[in-house]
Amino acid sequence: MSTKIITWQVIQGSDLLFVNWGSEVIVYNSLSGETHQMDVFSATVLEQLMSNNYIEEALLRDICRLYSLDNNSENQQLIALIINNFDQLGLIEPCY
Amino acid sequence: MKLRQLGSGNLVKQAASKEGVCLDIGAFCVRVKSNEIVFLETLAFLYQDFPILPSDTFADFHIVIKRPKGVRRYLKPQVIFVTDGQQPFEPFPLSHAFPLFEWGLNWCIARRSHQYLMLHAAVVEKNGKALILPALPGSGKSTLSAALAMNGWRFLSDEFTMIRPQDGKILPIPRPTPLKNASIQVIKDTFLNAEMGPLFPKTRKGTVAHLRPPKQSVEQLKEAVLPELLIFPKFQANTEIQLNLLNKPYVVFKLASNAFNYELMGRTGFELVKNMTSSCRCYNLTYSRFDQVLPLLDDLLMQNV
Amino acid sequence: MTIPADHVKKILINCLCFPETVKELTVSEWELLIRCARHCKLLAYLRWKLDSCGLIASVPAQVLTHFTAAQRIVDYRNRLAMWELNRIRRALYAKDVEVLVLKGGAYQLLQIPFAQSRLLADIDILVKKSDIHTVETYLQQQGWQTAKLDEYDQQYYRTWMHEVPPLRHQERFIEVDLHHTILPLSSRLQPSPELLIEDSIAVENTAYKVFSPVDMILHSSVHLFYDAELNGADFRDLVDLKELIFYFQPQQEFFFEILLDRAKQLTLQRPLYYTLYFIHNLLDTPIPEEYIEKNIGKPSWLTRKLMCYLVPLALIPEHPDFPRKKVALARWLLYVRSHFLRMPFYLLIPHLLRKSRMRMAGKEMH
Repeated sequence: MSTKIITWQVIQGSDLLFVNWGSEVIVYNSLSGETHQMDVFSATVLEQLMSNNYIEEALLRDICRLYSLDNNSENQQLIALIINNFDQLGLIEPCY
Repeated sequence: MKLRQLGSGNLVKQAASKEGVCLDIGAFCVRVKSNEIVFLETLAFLYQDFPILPSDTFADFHIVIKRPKGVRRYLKPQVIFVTDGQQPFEPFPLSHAFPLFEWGLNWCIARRSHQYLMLHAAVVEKNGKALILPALPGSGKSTLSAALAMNGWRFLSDEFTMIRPQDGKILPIPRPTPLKNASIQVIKDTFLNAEMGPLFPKTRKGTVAHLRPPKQSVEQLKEAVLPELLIFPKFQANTEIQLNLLNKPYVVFKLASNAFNYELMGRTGFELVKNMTSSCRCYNLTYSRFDQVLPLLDDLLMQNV
Repeated sequence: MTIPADHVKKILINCLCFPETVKELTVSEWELLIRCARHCKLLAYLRWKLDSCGLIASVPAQVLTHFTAAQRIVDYRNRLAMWELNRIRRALYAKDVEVLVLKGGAYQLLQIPFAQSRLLADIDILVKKSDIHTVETYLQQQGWQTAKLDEYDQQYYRTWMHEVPPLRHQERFIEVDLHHTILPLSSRLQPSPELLIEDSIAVENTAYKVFSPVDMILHSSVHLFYDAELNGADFRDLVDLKELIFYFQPQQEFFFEILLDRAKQLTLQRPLYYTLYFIHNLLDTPIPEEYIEKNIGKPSWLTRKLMCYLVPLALIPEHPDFPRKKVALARWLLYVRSHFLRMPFYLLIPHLLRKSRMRMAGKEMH
């Protein structure tokens, strides 16, 4: 049985407010009322999702291009982990 | 008119009337009703410099301090705290009516005053700049803010830093400071002009006594001020004084968890915390001696780093 | 000298029904109005009403701070509720279940104007009876937990009530009440959940459905007059009903005829009678007499007299400083009535005894 591939979008109906402080970024989600802290790399992934909806594979490709990274299994796992975290935290959701 | 000008006879009469006594405590007006003389005497002493407002002023809180029905009305008498028909706490012994009033008023403020962002923090001011001391109970913030108030700083509050969203300014509520156990004697010994209310032994927090706020601080109870310094204090006996500059994202989370109503305030709360973190100098402070910490804080205020 | 209770009634009801009268309030009357409105959870609603009528300029500055604080509390609860619905939708992603949102959550989803000022407590959702355990399990697998209950309470919910025990996500505070019908199974009225689901409407851009407008009104009616205890805290439910009727009636021709027909279909004529009667008489809502008088749910003369005496006494908030014994008695009688309506005698007496023991021990669940 094949797992359905999810297209991800940033959480709909929210204002995400970003505050940059050097290597740390604070993000406030007005829909959940929660405040998050993340590194610049994760914040960039989130901003990418704000500009477009993505399946995991395409997001990995664009992020690797942006950061001049290899599209390898290590980075694939990293992106998968970030997507999973964002999903758990309610910063992104599947396109319904 | 100030409470002391009312005279004890009139105070008792007014407190027993339907309208009660309207006390201006700075950010709020409190309507107090009671027939209990011992309670009113302590109120009259500790709140003597506070303005009394006319009965037909709009009061933000209604508090009744009275005896419960039944046996405990006369036998080992107790008092209860009633606000808007609700009795949120268990009765206290009659002799502890004043601490009950103070803790009850704190409860009322924390539950309802969501027109402000409320930090669980002491706050004092000097030269037009506020120093906020957010801390967990037991960290010594009340004692430290009392010491600062006795040492030339204007006292705004030992418990609530009320931040007005429109301009980020802090509104005073310069009520009596409850000091606990050893702190009572420490303040008395260090500051000979400190005026204390009666001792209340065996409360939930040990022995408690209230420091009367400085008259000048009460005179300025309507003067709001912007924050400049944010210091997380910790009293630790027999240690050298330590001051550490804090990383800003860390401060955001510390303030968010410290505030009574950060989540409730939503986006407004976030913006206020973010702005305060950006504009203030933020530190952790560990100290053990007044003669070290007070000059340090004075110096820190003067610096414009 | 004005009797305190009458004074409250006059000020509160006047301001709710005729907002212009706030211009005549003294400062002391404002103070009383704010205290009472807060007690019956109508403070933010009052502000909304005054704002919609362009009367905010007539509100003293100090009073405005109370309105602001009340609105913040409402906004917070609404945010929690909408977020909970967002998380439930996420948890049920790609699961084939139909979920209806009830009461306040529904008013929010539909963006009915008064809903932005209405204080929400928890989320009520309804699914088909055949889906209830599946949905409960899906949610439990994703972090929702059932309140810890003893055997009696477990049996109470599962066997007799219209819901499973309340759920709460381990990271959040809001309670989710998962229903399969709108009244307890032991209740004297049994409106068909199938009929309710059949007429439900999908809400755009959400995964959810809500009751049709007339069903929403009937649900709120039966909740107030057959499920709730009818005390001062329920007064705002009557205000909700007025607002719902005012909102939906202009959108549908023959609205009252449809409402009465549907009430008959769902066997809810009696609660509808009380709704129309009391919003007409207590909240000055213009309801054509015929829809009240010709309602076949109109009770007997004796029942009508009793309810017309007890309900206003119990429902309208008291002066906070002068509570009356007769109001306490009226509320107690209606409290027993609400339980009598929910369960047969052989369950009622033991249940009431147990509730009163639990209440004294501070452990009451329901």
